[in-house]
Amino acid sequence: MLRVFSYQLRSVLRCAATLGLAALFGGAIYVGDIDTITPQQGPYQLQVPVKFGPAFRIPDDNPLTYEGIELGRMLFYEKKLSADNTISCGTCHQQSLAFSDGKAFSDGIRGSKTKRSTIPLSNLLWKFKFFWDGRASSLEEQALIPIQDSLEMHLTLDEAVSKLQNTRTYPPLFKQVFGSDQITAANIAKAISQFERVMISSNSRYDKFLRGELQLTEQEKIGMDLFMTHPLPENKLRGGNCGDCHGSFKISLHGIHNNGLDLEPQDRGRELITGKVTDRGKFRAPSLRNIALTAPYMHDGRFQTLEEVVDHYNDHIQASATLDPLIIEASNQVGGKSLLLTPAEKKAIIAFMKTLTDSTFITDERFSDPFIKVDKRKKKS
Amino acid sequence: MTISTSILFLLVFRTLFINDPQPAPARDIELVIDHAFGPEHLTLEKGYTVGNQVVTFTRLKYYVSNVTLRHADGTTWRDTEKYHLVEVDEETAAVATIKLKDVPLKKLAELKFSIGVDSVDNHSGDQEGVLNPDYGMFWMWETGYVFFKVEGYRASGEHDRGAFVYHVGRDNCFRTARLEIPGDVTAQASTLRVAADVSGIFKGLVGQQLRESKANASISVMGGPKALEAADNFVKIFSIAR
Repeated sequence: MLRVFSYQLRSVLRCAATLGLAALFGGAIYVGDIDTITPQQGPYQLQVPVKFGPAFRIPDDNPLTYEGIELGRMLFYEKKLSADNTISCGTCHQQSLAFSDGKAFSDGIRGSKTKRSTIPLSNLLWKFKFFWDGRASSLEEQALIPIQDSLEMHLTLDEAVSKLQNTRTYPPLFKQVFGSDQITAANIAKAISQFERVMISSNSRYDKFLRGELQLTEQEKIGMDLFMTHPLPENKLRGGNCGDCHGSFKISLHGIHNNGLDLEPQDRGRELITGKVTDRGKFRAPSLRNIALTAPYMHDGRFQTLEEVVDHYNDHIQASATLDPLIIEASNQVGGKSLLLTPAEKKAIIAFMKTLTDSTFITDERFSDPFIKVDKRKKKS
Repeated sequence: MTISTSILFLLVFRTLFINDPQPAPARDIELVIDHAFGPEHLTLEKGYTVGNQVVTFTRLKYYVSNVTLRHADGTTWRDTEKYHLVEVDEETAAVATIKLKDVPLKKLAELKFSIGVDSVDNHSGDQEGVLNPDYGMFWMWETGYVFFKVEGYRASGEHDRGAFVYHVGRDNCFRTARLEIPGDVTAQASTLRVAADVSGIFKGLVGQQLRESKANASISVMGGPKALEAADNFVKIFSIAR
């Protein structure tokens, strides 16, 4: 009943918003069964962190708008986008875990398990390859794939469109954002992409250090230098060799590498996309933002802790034919066959990785599940 | 001198001496760099023979900066876009195109460009455009840029496999190529083709080092005398294509 009642009140509430009565509703206006309509409308004022820079491109046909982002947020958390109404994007991409799910393989539809671990989400604005194997080259392309995947949400695009079309909530919202209440798959993808583009994480201790707002500890600073440095023992330059693939201020570059997990990988990674043996066992190097929150690690979640991850790179590299030259070559001793970090250096690198946790990001209401508040409200009323 | 004669004088002076020149006729030139290994078109992940070694490239990435053209009449034109990042990958098929905009329509005599980031910009921290650290060419720990990255595998046999990683930067490795433009390139030419034979990277000390490398040894060239020679070698791989 609440749903219907609220829906009919939509226009009244909008008027209230424009009259500046938002404060009466605690700063947000509740419309329909969600709390998404904010007083702000129109083109979204994107705040780009200074150190993150302008190396991104927003598609001309999908400019950011406040309404588009809010619609995308709803769709991101919309369980109707799965065959049995149990799974949304937010099921595996949970905000409290930096939009990962704490599992080696994720729970898909009807008890199935995904074939790879959920990749945490943040700063996707600057990405142009998606999935562990880099198979999608835009967020718009990416967004529709899990919806159709038989192990994930398992809907055809026609079914997804039709389910949303048959709600009271969505057609007017699509009309508001895209000018038509005839929902299309392309517009579903566009809205979700808008939401994902504004999920910017830039308030970790590392970011604050970059902005001069705080000092890192001595150990964290040593760890940062090691993290970013490719070792060159001839010049007595010690390095953890992380930054070649997880570099830049976003702790994320765009490479796809074999990082020495297996001699004969069961999951052939990018080779499954390109068909090239030279791509065997190669996976996208993910951003290490919020890495302390996103265990277990690697595409198959084989490592439970950051200590295990660092031990892998230090001691257990498997030298297959496609192992990245940046790993083969790197050692802290002249002629060394492995990375050869000291225990103190390994600890310092982990201390630095823990500065990448952004607690603001994982509690930011703009990225939270809009449907949860309603449940709380229902309980109250 | 009255005010009116002063004005008249100024007007005449202006007409005679600082007459706004008509913009010289100009055109855009595409500077096309074709990467090759010896006579073969360069392909990543493909083996090429150097001495007794087979080398395979996995990455080739470098900054072309301060492109300058000298015309046959002695005047010069300088690219206002100071930095271009060249990367050989699957999509570009080893051909890089740099657009030179509004070059005066004159006969060309020399093409000059540098490999890397000049000392002013190399000491100004991280910057915008292709100098953004996102492009993976910024040494975060010493706030300077990598001028060129060459990475790949080397092997002299089944039991001697290794990798090479040349990340070369620092001011003393900044090098400039000067290429004479042949007389048969017309004043109207809208394309300048440059050949980059990457086998040259391994010449001299670096090639020597490849041949002398011990079993399974890997090679890194980031600083020191080897980096200087790598920089010397790198800038020499370019020539005007005929």
